Amino acid sequence: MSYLEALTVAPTDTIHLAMQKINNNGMRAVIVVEDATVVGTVSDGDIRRALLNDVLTITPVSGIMQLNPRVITVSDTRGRKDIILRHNLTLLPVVDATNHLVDVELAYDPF
Amino acid sequence: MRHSLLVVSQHLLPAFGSTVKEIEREGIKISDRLYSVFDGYTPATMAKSTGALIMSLTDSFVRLRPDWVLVLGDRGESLAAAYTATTMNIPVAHVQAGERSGNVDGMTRHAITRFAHLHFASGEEAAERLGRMGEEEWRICTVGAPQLDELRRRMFAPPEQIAAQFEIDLEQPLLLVLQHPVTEDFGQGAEQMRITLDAVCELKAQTVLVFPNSDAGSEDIRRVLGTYRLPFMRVERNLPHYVYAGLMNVATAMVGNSSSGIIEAPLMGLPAVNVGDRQRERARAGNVIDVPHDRDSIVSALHRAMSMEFREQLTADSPYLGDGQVSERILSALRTTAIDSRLMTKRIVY
Repeated sequence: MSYLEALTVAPTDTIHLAMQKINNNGMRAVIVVEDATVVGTVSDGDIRRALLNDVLTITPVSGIMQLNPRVITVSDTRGRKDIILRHNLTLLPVVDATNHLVDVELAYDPF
Repeated sequence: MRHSLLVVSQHLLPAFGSTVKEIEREGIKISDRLYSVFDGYTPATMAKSTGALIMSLTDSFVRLRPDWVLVLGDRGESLAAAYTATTMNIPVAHVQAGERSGNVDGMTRHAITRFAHLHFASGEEAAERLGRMGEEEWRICTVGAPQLDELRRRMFAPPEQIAAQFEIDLEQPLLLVLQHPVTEDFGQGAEQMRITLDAVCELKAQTVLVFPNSDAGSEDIRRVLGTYRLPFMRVERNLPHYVYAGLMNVATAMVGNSSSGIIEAPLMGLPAVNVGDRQRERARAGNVIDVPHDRDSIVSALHRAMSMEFREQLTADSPYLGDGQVSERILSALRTTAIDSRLMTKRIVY
């Protein structure tokens, strides 16, 4: 898959698929996208907490994803690293005015 | 009084906030966890889920041999428990009996009344209705609405905790959105939510939105919620009542079709814009502004609800009795009511 594909999942995708993508993208998280809109994020931590709650990996990620992910607008170019550091993020979705995903700011180079 | 708590259906599902954890955190002992919800959230899967629950409840009742089964409100799960218990000759007590909701839940509540041996009414109006339905006078106890006990005693999260948890500026207006799919309007839930969200976006206020329940149509609503995200909106799965009440305490207004806008919000002096028919039959206090599913109507109602003039003329009065003694009255009735053939043999007296 392409790197962008490895960074995103659909809300109906399973936790298992999210884990595979996280395995491939090196950023310990994926962004949940529906109709090109950012609707959530799923991190290794979210999955760990779900497994501790006996949630099966065939469950859609919509059931466990972070519903209020931090995002930044495409026009805000200066605050990105700051937000990433302050909130200990590995990635920061960059969206346009209608919350569509246009780019992803990474905390570090995964390669 | 010894009790066994059965936690069923939505409470057990992560997609609805795993509210069973809230119960566990309180240290309340749970006797059984009964998984019964079929995926799909259509009218058909709702019906099938009720059947699955009856099967599990039967085994629980055989094992626990309760003296009373206590059910609440107007949900299919409560009807499943009332039906199963009565069939097994176990007396049933029903909290929030005799109210009118305004959709299929109203029919369910009515059906539960027929399977219940003791009715706990939240106020005079509900008690009178039970009498008119032909229930014997001595089975009807006017005790009040139990959830109001907590609000009366101000048992909810303080403003600082709410501000921290939801990243809210308490100095600025705050809107609370709770909209459930209406079972009779199946297929329209998404459109109705879109209309409400269009209106909410016009206000550009801090907004906290709580996910709908697992009724038929809730999947469509969630999909709309997902694609409608805006920077000032926070989405939450089910919230513990302690936290939810804390939100009501600091909110400027609430909008949607939740019964809490009709029953609980008046006690907190919180204006509620009620959209559509889901709560049409419930008695209303002065805090409720009713509007149809129309963006402009909702917007103007919200402006009015959030205005100083409207908020100032509200009294912290609910048409539902809640003086802090409701739980005591229910316990007392359960302790003192004799379980005999008079209780178990129901007569309908018109």
